[in-house]
Amino acid sequence: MSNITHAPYENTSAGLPVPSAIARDVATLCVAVAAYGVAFGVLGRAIGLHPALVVAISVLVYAGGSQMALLGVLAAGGAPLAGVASGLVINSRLVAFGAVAAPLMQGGRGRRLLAAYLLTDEVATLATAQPDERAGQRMFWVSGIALWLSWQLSTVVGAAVGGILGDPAAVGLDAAFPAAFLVLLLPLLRGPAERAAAVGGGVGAVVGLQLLPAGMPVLLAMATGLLAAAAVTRLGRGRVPVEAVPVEAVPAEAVPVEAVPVAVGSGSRP
Amino acid sequence: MTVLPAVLLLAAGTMALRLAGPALIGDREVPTWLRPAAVGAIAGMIVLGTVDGGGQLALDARVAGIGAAVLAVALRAPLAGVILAGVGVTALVRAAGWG
Repeated sequence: MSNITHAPYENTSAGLPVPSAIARDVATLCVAVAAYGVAFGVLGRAIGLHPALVVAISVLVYAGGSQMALLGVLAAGGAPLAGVASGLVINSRLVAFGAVAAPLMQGGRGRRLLAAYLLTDEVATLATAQPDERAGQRMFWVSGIALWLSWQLSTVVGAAVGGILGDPAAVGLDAAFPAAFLVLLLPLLRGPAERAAAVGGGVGAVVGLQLLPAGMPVLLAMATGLLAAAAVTRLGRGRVPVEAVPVEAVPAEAVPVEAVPVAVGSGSRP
Repeated sequence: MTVLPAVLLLAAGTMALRLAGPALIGDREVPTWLRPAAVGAIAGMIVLGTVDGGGQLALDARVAGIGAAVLAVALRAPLAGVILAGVGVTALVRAAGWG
């Protein structure tokens, strides 16, 4: 798969992704998010929470993984504080995603506050995969608002219908997000370092799953992804001593150059 | 601690986490190493979404579903097609009783 570049957006002459392509992919994610929002609403009612509280959780926290974790702890009769701790660990990845998307979240204080509130894994991934900063900002706000609306409205629906719906897992919905992130990940795999990071992250996740509590495997995946990328970059440098070789003779693969790093300002020229 | 105070605590903490990233970066360029970290996190989330069975490794219908999703990606299917492939195959394998 390494030589398949999934380039989801052809640019218009203005350099922005085609609006219909953005709308199509954001709409698709809205459906996936809505399915989970309904599941959360239903689950919240199933453990006996007041529908208003269920909706309030989605508005106040707005982070699906941690919301589900909180429900899980409550359902098992655990202390709510344990659910908070678990939820915060799960949400700690937002620091990394917020940092990577930072150039796309700029503006006045109110705007930055709203941007932070709307930040999710999907929004950050979609936005940072865009070819340039302008497209990234557009994607950030379009997907940020659309996915927020999707989550809130679907939570309301789920809380309203209560236990009428069945188990989301029965219809395979739990596979929706890994599948979606597969597609969203591809444009980010721009060089050998990123590809190594993906492999390293996958390995770290499996190891972390066996050893660490909820939320922490992803943090380990971040670390192992970093290490893998660093190792590959170092190997690349080792092969080609830059001082000794004329610039034209350096093969493109030996130097992990990011062709369009503008969206995250990460020119990785060693 | 009852539920609502816990929710408020989680909400406040999560908002702080959301603000921390941009606050740490400020006006500067995003450090090069952050991108591989984000890629690692996303790849990790994909893997966990496939094999996480409540804190331990679980190979069930999702593996088939994500396998189908990978195939769909290789066939250059759009996002909706990949998700449908993943969800559909997972549901079918479950219905057939194979995990």
